Amino acid sequence: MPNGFAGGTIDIDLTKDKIKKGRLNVSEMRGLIGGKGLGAKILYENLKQGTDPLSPSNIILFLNGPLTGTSPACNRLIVVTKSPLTGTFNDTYAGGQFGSELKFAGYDYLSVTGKAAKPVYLWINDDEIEIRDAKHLWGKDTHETELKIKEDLGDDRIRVACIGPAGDNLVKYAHVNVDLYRQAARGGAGTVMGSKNLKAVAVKGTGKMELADPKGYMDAIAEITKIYMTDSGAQAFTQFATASAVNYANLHGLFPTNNFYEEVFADAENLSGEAQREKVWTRDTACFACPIRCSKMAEAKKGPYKGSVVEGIEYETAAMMGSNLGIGDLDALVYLNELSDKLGLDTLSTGNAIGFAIECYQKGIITSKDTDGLELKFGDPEVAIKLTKMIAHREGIGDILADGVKEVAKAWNKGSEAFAMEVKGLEMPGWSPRGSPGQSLAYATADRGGCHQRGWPIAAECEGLPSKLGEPLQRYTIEGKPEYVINDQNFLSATYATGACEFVRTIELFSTAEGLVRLIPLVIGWDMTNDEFMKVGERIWNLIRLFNLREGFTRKDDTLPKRVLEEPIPSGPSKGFNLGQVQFEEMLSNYYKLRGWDKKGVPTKAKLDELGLGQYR
Amino acid sequence: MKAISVDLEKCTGCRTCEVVCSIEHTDAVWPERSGIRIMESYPRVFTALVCHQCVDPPCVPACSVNALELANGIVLVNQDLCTGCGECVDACPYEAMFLDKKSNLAVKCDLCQGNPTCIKYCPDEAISLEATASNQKGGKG
Repeated sequence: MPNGFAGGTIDIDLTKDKIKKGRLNVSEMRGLIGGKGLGAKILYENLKQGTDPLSPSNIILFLNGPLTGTSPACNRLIVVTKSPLTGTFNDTYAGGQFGSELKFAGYDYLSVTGKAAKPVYLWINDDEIEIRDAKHLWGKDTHETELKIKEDLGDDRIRVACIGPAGDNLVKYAHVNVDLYRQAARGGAGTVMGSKNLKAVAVKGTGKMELADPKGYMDAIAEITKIYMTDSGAQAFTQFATASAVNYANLHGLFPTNNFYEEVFADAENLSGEAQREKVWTRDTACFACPIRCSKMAEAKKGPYKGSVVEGIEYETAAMMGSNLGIGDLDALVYLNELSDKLGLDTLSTGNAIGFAIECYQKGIITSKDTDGLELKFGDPEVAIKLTKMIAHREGIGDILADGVKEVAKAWNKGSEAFAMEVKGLEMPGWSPRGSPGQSLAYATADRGGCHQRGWPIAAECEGLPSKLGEPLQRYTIEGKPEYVINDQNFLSATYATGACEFVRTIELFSTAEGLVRLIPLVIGWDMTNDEFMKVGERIWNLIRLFNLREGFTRKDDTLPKRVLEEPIPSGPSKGFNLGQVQFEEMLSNYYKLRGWDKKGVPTKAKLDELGLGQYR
Repeated sequence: MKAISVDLEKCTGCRTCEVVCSIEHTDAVWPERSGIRIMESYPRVFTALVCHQCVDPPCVPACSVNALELANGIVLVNQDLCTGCGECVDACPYEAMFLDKKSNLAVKCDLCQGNPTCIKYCPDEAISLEATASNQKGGKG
C-alpha cells in the first residue's frame, strides 16, 4: 500500500450504468503531486475539446490529495470539471470530512461521466459501490438530502456531497454542498452534477492511510499544532475567522459595495468577525484534523430571521451578499447564507448576480416589467431573499440571472457589460480589484476566471510588505506585481495538489513551500525541495493554461470589466484611482514574459520542455 | 481510576484525537482503529465516545474467548484472542467499545500507558484525564 495516497480509483459511467475500479500509478504522481494536479491531467487527457459542460460527456472528478486525512488542515475535497459558467477548467474545494473519508474508503478519486436515465446517488461503502435511486431526493434542499441519505443508510458517520434545487434546476453557479455546512462552491460544479442526474455522493471509509514516517510525522505535528495554538496571526484567525478580514478590506478600500460601485461600506463594522463573535456566533467548529478552526456556527437572534442557523458568515458571503448588496444586518445575512446553502447556490456568484440586477434596475436597463413588479434596491434583505429563491428555482427574472452575469449582460446589453463584474464568466469574489493592480492581474489570469484563491497580492500591496522576491510592493504601481502573482499562483497550485487547505498559510512556516515540504517526506516519502514543490505548481498552472487555450481562450479573455479598468474609484482611500487599459496591458505582457509565454499568452516550446509538458503541445 | 474526559464546550469536532490515537496504536491514520470517537448530530452537536474505565467493567465478562483483560484497572484487548464477535460492544453501556469489522477486532482506549496521546495533540485543549464519574460499577442504565 502506498504512503499518503489511498491507491484506488473509481470510474463511473452513468449512461452505461458501469462502475470500474482501478489503481493509481503512484510512481507517476510526483511531478503533479495529486489533487489539483491529478485533476488537471485527467481532464486534459480525457475531455474532448469543445465538450459542452452540461452534456453527458463532461467529466466530474471528486479527488483528495496525498496529504488529505492528516493534520494540519489537510482535509480538502477537490472537485474538478469543465465549468458550465466559464467553459474553463474548474477546480473547487471543500473542507469538512468528505475528502478524508474518501481516502479511508480506499480512493484517491472518483470520476463520473455520462448521464443517468433518472435521478441517482452514489454510495461508496469501502469496497462496495452502488448507484442508487434518488427520485425521492430530487428537488430537496441540501440539508434534507444529506439527512435523508444518512437515515436511509442508517449511519450518521456517512459523509455526503450533494446538490440542492439550484443544481437540480441547472443554475450555472450551483454548488456542491459537503458535510452539511461546507461547499465546493465555485464555477458550477453542482450544475454539472445536476446535468448528470447525480443528486449526491455518499461515502463511508473504514480503512487506513499509511504514513512514510509515522514517528517523524507525530513529532512534526506536535510542534506545528503548538504554533497554530500560540501564533498571534493564527489565533486572530481562529477567533474571528475569515470575517477578520472585513475591517481590513474596508479600511484599505477593497470591500465591494453596491455591485462594486464603491469600495467602502458604511456598515462594514457590523459584518466584522468581532461583531459576529458578539452577536451571532454560538460555537467554534473545525474541519477534519484542523488546528485552525475557522468555522463558526451562527444563529440569528432577533427579528424576522430569528432562529436561522448557518456555519458562517464567512468573509466572502459577508462581502458578496452583504456590502455588495448594501446589506449590513447580520441576522438577515445569517438567513440569506442559510437559504443559499440549502438551495445549493454559490453565495459569491449569487450576490454578484443580484447586485448586477439591482444596478441595471436603477439605471433603467430593466424595469418592473422584467421583475414581476419587484422593486430592486440595495440595502433591502427581502429583495435579496426573493431573488435568491427565484434564481434557485429559475422563476421569472431568476431564470436569466441563473445563467451568470456574463450571459445576463449579453441579453440586457445597453452598456451593462461595463459593470458585469466577472472574468471569463466567473463572478468576482469579495475583494474589489479596482484599487489593487496586483489583484486585477490575479483575477485576469486566474485559471477559472474571477477568483481570489489563485493569487492574493492584496496584503503585500497594502502593507508594502517585502514581496519575498526582494523589493517591498507599492500599492498602486504595476512593478513587481507579475512576479508576486506568479509566485502565489505556483505556490497555491502545488498546495491544492497536496490536499491542504490554503489557510495553513496563517502561520509563517506555511506561508512558503517550507511547511508542506516538511510534511511531504513524512507522509508520502518524497524528499522534496522548495524548488521542486514550486516547479510542480508551475507545471500544473501551465497544463491548465493549455487546457483553456485548447478551449479557445485567448489573451483578450485575460481582462477585466470596464468598471475596474476605466472607472475612477468614487470614494475611500483610493478615491480617483484608476489603473487604465494601457498599464493593465503592460502588466499582463510582463506577466506573460515572466511566465515564459508568448505575447498571445501561449506557453513557449522551451517552457513546456523545461516543465516536462512537451507531450501536451 | 482515571479516564479520558472531553469538554464538549471546547471540542470543535476536528477529530485530531482520532488521527493521533490511530497513529499511536497502528502507525497509520485509521479512525476506525481509534479508541476515541467524536460523533456529530444535527446541527453540529458533538459527543465523544471513549472508555470510562469502569471499576467493574461489563465488557470483560461479556467476552466469551477471554480476549479482554483488566491490567492495572485498564481493560486491554488481546488482539491474538479477539474474534471480533461484538459481545463486548453490546455489553458496554457507554458505546465506547468499537468494532473494526474488517479486521474482526475490538478497539478501545488503553490510556497510552498513562500518557494519552489525544490529550497532547488536541488543538482545543478539550481532552483531559479525570477521575471516572463516580467510580461506579459499569452496567446498563
